[in-house]
Parts: sequence; C-alpha cells; structure tokens
Amino acid sequence: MRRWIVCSWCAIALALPASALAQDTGQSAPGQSSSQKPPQTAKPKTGKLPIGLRAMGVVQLTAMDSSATFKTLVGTSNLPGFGGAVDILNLVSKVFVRFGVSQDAKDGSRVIVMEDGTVHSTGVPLTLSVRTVELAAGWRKYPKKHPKFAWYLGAGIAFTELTSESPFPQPGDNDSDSGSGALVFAGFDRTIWKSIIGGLEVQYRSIQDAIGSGGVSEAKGENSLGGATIRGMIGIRLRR
Amino acid sequence: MVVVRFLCCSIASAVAVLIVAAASPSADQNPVQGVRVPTVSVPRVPTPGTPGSNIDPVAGPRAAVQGGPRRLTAARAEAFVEAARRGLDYLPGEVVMKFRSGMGAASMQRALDAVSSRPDANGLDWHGSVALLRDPSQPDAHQLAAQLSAQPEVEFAEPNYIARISPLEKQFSVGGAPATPPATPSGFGRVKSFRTTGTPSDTDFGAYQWNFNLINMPAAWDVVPGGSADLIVAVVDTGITLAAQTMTFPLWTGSAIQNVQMAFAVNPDLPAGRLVSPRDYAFLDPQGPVVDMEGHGTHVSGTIGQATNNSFLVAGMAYNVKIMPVKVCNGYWELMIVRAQNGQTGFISSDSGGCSFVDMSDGIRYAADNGAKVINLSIGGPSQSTLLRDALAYAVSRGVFVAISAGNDFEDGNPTMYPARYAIDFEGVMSVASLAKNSAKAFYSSTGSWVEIAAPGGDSRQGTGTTDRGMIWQSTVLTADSVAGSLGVIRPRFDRYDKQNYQGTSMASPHVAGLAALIMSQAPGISPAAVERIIRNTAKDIGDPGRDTHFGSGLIQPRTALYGYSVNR
Repeated sequence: MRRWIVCSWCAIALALPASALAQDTGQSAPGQSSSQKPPQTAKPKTGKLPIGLRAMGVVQLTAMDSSATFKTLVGTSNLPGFGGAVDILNLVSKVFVRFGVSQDAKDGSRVIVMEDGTVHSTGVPLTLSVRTVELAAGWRKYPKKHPKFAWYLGAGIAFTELTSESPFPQPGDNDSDSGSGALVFAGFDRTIWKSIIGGLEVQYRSIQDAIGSGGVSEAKGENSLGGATIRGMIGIRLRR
Repeated sequence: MVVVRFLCCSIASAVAVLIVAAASPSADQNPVQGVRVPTVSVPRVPTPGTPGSNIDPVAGPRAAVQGGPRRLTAARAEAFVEAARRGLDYLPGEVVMKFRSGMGAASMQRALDAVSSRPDANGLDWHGSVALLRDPSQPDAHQLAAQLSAQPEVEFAEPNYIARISPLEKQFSVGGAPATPPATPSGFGRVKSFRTTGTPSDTDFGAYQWNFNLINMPAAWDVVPGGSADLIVAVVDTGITLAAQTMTFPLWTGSAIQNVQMAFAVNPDLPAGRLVSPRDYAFLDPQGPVVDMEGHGTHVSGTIGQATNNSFLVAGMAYNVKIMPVKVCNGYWELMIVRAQNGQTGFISSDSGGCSFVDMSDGIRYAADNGAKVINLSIGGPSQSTLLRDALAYAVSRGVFVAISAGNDFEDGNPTMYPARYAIDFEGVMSVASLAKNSAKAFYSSTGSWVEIAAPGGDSRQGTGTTDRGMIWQSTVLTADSVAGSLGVIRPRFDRYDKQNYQGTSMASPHVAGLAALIMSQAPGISPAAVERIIRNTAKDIGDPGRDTHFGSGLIQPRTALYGYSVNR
C-alpha cells in the first residue's frame, strides 16, 4: 500500500513539470502576461527564462522508516545529517534538475534483541551512516507578488547506502547495505541578500528491501532505508 | 558387569602394587616442578594429618597442614564405597529432609519417630533449612525417605543422592613430564589484561585448543579481553589446590597403613591470586585448605579462566576473573585416606567416590552467598532432587547464573539427568550439551528437552589421529607419577601440572560459564535471566531447525554475544 502511494506520488510529481511546461507553451511566464504589470524588479521580457543555477548546503533531519531498528541502535529514529545539492534551473521553462548528496549519521551501540523483544546493549560503540545520492527533476514557481520567493516540487531516484562502524570488526561486520528507490520533495527558498538564498524542503525517500535480512532489522521486521527528511538550506542562486 | 568388576579389581591390584613400591624406602629421585628431590621413607605411625614440615622432602616454601579430614567422616567414606560397590545412586542410610515451616522440636521428633530406629531430632545434621539424617540401621535411603515423606511435618525427604564423575571423561595416559613455566614468562603469575590481535601467545593454543577456535574466542577476546577481575566464578567440583604444601596422611600401602606425604602445588597456569573464597564441603575442614586430588575441578576451572597470553600451555575463556573453588566431590584418594585414618585396610574401586547432593547444595548456596556471579556445575546424576532444585532457585534469586553439564549417559540409556533437567525451569540456569570438533553431537552427550545450549566438549571417537585427539585440553594436576627405568610407580602426589585431554559435558559446561562471566563483565548488574537469553539468542542453530533435544538453541557464539548486532548483521 505504502509503495503504491509513493509511486503515485512520484508519478504526480513527475507529471507536474510536464504539465507546467505544457501550460508555459500556451501561457506567459510569470511577469510576462500582458494583463499583468511586470514586477518592478523583473528584467525585460526575453520570452524564455535563462538557465540558472542553485547550489545549496544542507542540514537535515531524517525520520527513518525503520524507526524501531534505529531507535534500538541509536536511541532515535531521527538522524541528523548534512549534504549539498546543485539544481540547474530553467532547463525547460521552470523545470530544473538536481544532483544532491547527503549523509545522516548517529552514534549508538550494538545490541542483542531477545525473542521477547527486550534489548541488551553490549556497549560496543556503533556509528550508523546513511548516505544518499539524489538524481531528480522538479518544477519551480515564482509567485508574482513575492519575486524573492520561489517554491518548488520534484521527484527522482535515490541511491542510499548504510554503513555500520564499530571497533574490532571481523570481516563482514562493517560491510554496508544499499538500495535504491524513489524520492519526492517540495520546498521553498527566498533570496536573503543578493544571490544568497535560504530555504526549507521536505523530502521522502522510499528505499525498500535494503535491510531486514539480519541483525536488528530482521528482529524488528523492517526493511526500509528510506524516510522523511526536513532540510534547511543555504546557498547561492545564479539567475532565477 | 563382570568385566567391569574384573577391571576394577585389576586396577585396584595394580594400584596396590604400585603404592607398595611408592611407599617403600628408596633412593629414587623424582621431579617435582623441575626440582629433583629424594624420596624419603615415611614413619609407620598412623597419625592422621600430622604436620608435614619435619619430613617434607620438597624444597621450597611449603606450608605444613594441621589436622586431617573432618568433613569426610569414616561413615561417609564407607557409604561412598558401599554405594560404588552396590551401584547405588545414593549414600546408604542418608536422607535429606526439610520440615514444613513452623515445625518445633516436638513436631520434628514426632516425624522422626516414624522411622523404626527413632532417631533423635537433636542428632540431625543441619544444612541451612534442610537436615541430613544418618540412619545406619536402614541402608535403604529410599525407604527412609518414603517413611519420612509420609509425615505431615515433612515438606520433602529424599535420599542423599550422589553424582559421579564419568570415567569416560579422562582419556589420557598417565605419566609424562610436568609442564614448567617459561623462565621469563610474559605476564606469568600476574593478572594481565590484554587485547588480542588474533591467537593468544599460549604455546599450545593453536595445536590443542580447537574448541576455542570453533567458537571464535580470539575475536570475542577483542571485545571483552578476559573479563573483569572483580567477577567471581564458582567451580563447584572436586576442588582446586590453593597453596603449595605437603600434607601427611595415613594410607593403606598394600601391607600396612602408613603415613604418606603428599605434595600439593598450585596450578602454575592459574595463579593463586585469582583463587578466592575457597570452601571444602567434601573432604577436609570447611575452613581449611582446598585441594584437588582428582583433577576434574582444576581442568574445568582452566576452561573458565586459565591464564592466557602468558606463553605457557593453553588458554581460558575469562582469564581475568576470579575463581572460587568449592569442593563437593571426593575421589579415590580422599576415600582411601579416610578409610586408613579409620584403620581400614585394603583397596577400593578406583571409581569410588562422588559428589553428594547435600554437599552440592551447600556448595551452590555458599557460592551464591559469597559473591559468585556464575557457578559451574559439571556434575550430575539421574536422580531427581528437590534439594538441588531449591539450591538452584536460591542461586538465581541471588543473581547468579548457573551452567550445568547435561550428562554423558547417551549410550547408557540416555536417562534424564539432574540437576541439568531443572535448567529449563529457571531463566538463568542452562544445561549444556557437548559437541565434537566437527560440531557434531559428542557420542556421549545426553539428549532431552532439558538441553538448552551446546558447547565444545570433545569426542575421542571423532578426533583420532589428530594432535588434539578431538578432546578438550586444559592444565590440570597430574594425579599419578611414573619413574623412568622402573616398572612404574604410582605415587599420591598432586604437585605437578600439565595440559591434559578430557572429554564430556563437564568440559562443555565451563565454556558457557566462561561466556556468562564475560557477558557479566561487560554488563555489570545484568540478571542471570538476561545472560541466558543473550546466550540463547546469539547461538548458532545446528541440528534440526530451531531448538532441539540434541543441541538446545545451538552452539554458543561468544563473539556475537559480546559484540551484538547492528542494523543488518
């Protein structure tokens, strides 16, 4: 069911830019409508938005889908992280593409889950890191009344790798697990000063069957490396 | 049976001949821990337990011992001999009973009056809340117990059962030179914590201790190197010798009862500094020295905590923990001494002796009351015992984890073994089956629903031709001696040690006790129930899928139990 919802969401998200593109072919871009006054800050009409660039540093908090697994190991299912992304804007009208990387990490300790669900912590230090590479496309909207402001949404694919690191590893102990799946996101940004922008974004990644074959995830019956992320971003935007 | 009796008689005869040779005045020189000393003649005065310093032929600082056996009485010794002769699983004429709460002296006497000999309640031998009744007039302890159990004042009464150390456990040949520590040992004689980088430096680890490699102990030691020096593991067994000393005991030498000096020494691969709170419930005075004249207890303690990474002999699992020697078993020599002390001549069967359930119960309770966090019980028998069950419950209630050998009687009808059977009644008590080198069930390992876990215990039938013979090697006392160039002289001396190969669930159980000690070192305050769950949940399932009657939950995995799991492995 969840997978169906996610897929539907992705499809809708991917369709939106195309829809927007279609609308753009028949309509004016913001600020181009003859019935509207151009924004005072807008540049003269060119008929087409120039290709722009948005580069952002990201701090984020990810609520992992496999919440019981992560709570057991690191005490919480919300992993703090950081990353960066580059959006190439206005490739076709307001459509942009994104390449992004991020890493969420949290320290905890290795555990043993009993058959009755109780947990024994061995005290052996453990660092869990979830690294994600995003390839996505989206559509940006510039409200007419707030030219420094833009909101956007998009969808794409995510490649996620989980690594567990503990001291005294034996072969295989610190091996990583990885998976791929869909991601959708939405957010807004605002020009703070000249080309400096700040923004917020929410994202959901669906990475199924990446774990669950052993360890705590098997005991907890969880198999996802996906989750919902909220991001704070700051960066630069070259052109709109 | 005839063959067994013939063998026993043959062994007894051989022992007689050899002891005569040992006791006879000679100028032989014998190696004692590397020191060659003359054998001296011993006075023919049957004075038990006289100080040995005056005639001690052994150079070096040895303590003289005052007094003789007090715990093992002549009547008890004779009961052991009689039990062995008749094949009984109890001591004739001895019954353990517990009165219901609130019973006064009059009520107790009323219950005792049900017995034909009408024993005096004041003559009961109390062991905590239970009383031991000795009634020489009625050897059939089952009948005594039945009579007493029928009384409303009595909560339970049962024969004072005995457990015997299985003769199949020792497969080694007698004799051989003792091992001596290296001249400049690495950490020898000291408690030393280290972090392994693979195989420890113990000289015979690689060639002999397949058992530790089977359960990946080197990797487990990376996580918890040897356990905590504050943790105490009690070995309720034949004892462990705590001090180098020479004792003089009377002994039948084949022609007369003579005072014979017996030298004792501490296992050089288990330093005395790691032996704490000793107790002897079986042989000498409870407050006195503890000695191992059999080797079983020392071997078991070696698996649990033998000194490791000291470039000497072999390794132990929890090599930093303290060991509490609790002697509850007597062997051939103890019985021979007490019989001679009582003026009895002649030899007894070499398999005489054993461990009375009363002594085992006392030992378990003592360990639980004196700081032990883990108890190893590598003894058991086919007799149900409320006494032992209560003792186990008491130990667990005191936060003590107990490992019990599941039994070696698979080929002898595979009876239910006790107290191993009680393990499934308690979270915190585990019964341990034995595995061969190839992870198959050892041929002798008892099976049943009470088997909870498996560990290496050795199997001589599946190790033929290999250096390690497929058995478990630990340093223990060499209980016999031989002199090159002669026909062979067996001397009762207990001052030489070397690695010896044993097999049995007795050897498997201390692997679990050692693992429990490491877990408790890693997580101080953890409950015995949690320790059992950890061991069970991290075991490697072998045999039929899931828990089975051969291996329980499977082969222990110390590395996993101590390291734990991450997200996906």
